[in-house]
Amino acid sequence: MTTKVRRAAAVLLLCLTATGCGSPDSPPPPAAAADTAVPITKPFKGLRPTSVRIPKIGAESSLIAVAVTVDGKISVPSVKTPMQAAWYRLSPVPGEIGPAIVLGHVDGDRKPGIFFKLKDLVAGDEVDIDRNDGKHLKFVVERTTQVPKDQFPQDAVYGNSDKPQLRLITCGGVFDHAEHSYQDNVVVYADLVP
Amino acid sequence: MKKPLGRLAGAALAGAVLTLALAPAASAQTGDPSSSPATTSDSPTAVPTETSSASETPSTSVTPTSGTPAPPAASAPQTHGEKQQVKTTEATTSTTPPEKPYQDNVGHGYVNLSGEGVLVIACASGAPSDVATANLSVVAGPDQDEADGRYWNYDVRVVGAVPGATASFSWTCDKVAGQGEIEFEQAPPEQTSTPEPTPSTPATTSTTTTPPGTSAATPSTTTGTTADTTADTTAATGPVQTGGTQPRAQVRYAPKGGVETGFGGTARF
Repeated sequence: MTTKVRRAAAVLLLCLTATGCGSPDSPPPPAAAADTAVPITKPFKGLRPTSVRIPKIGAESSLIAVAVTVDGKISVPSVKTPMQAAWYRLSPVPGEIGPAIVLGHVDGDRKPGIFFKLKDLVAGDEVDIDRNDGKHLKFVVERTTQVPKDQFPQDAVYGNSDKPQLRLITCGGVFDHAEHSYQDNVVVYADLVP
Repeated sequence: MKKPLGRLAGAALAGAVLTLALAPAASAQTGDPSSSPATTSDSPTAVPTETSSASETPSTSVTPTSGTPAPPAASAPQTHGEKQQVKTTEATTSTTPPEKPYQDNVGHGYVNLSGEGVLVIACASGAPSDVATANLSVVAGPDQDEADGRYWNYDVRVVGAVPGATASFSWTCDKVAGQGEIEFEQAPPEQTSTPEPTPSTPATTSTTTTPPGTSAATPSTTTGTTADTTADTTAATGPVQTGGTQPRAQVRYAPKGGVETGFGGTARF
């Protein structure tokens, strides 16, 4: 009897040691960065925003210009550089009439991203944008929303506007481990301060 | 001999029990890297937001209720500080497919209703050459996507009539010919019969105050509106038919669906 108990204890100990007590269903680590990183020799040379700063949440980043992927999705900065924000080049330049789109990660590479606290913005908060023509623009948050990605408000975000506006977009909501993706987007709508 | 063995087994059993007891706490702290936001006090699930509104209407209907996501009525009002809990898998399985691996020498084009768009070509060896398409004029580019320099963008504009839903274009990448498809955004069916309520509508010059869904104006020639200053280098000579059927879209291509800006989404590693 005691021998059986001892054997059981030994088997249990062995099992625990073998699994390392880790969570077997933990998501896989992100894939290694592509070694095929191509230097940017031909960046967008037109009028463009150069940096974004959101004092309330302590977010500050230069802005790279991104467009779309071959699959038609909006291109985003590498997850390896989650503190990098981006301007969607197929949207207006901030300060021009229309909705200028600025993107940032909520997290990445196991760290908080540049827009980790974007959801905390409320009406009246300030967003500053600098451009390569030397202009410093100040936007004021009009509202912050969180929407499921499959109900993304295309018209509200990308539709024409009659004044210079800003849309700050990041991920939010529940993290779906199976999809390796957040279920929602957080969108901040801001207006240019004349 | 028996006693030390028994003690050893006892110690092992005690250790095992202790480990089992501590394991959940340990994994809650560090186990899941993807849930890092949740560990730092304010998880992204608890969002102190107001609403999402339908388009630009000033009447933002605030819905301070907590509950399930709103029905897909153009927008989805969200909640105040509500913690969304376990709506995990069922609603999302079809939303974000896993990222595809990089494929070189492929391309695609997207042109909106107003006849403007972009061609995207994956070419890791450098800028593609011999970009050619029958129905489009390349007005700017190539520009590298600054998030991934393997992708090259060309701003395009329809010349003449829109050929249909799709057309092809070609290029050369590292001395290898490539071919891709261009998608032309199609107007929703109900917009084809535009009611012309006022018979004496003055043919005013185009302005930029058109809401996104309307199609009252029909631009015929390009008008130098706001953001065209850098793009019109090659197409500035002579009247260029936009070919589009809609007023100029300020966002030249509106990606479908949400944006992947979270850990492990479609963002590139």
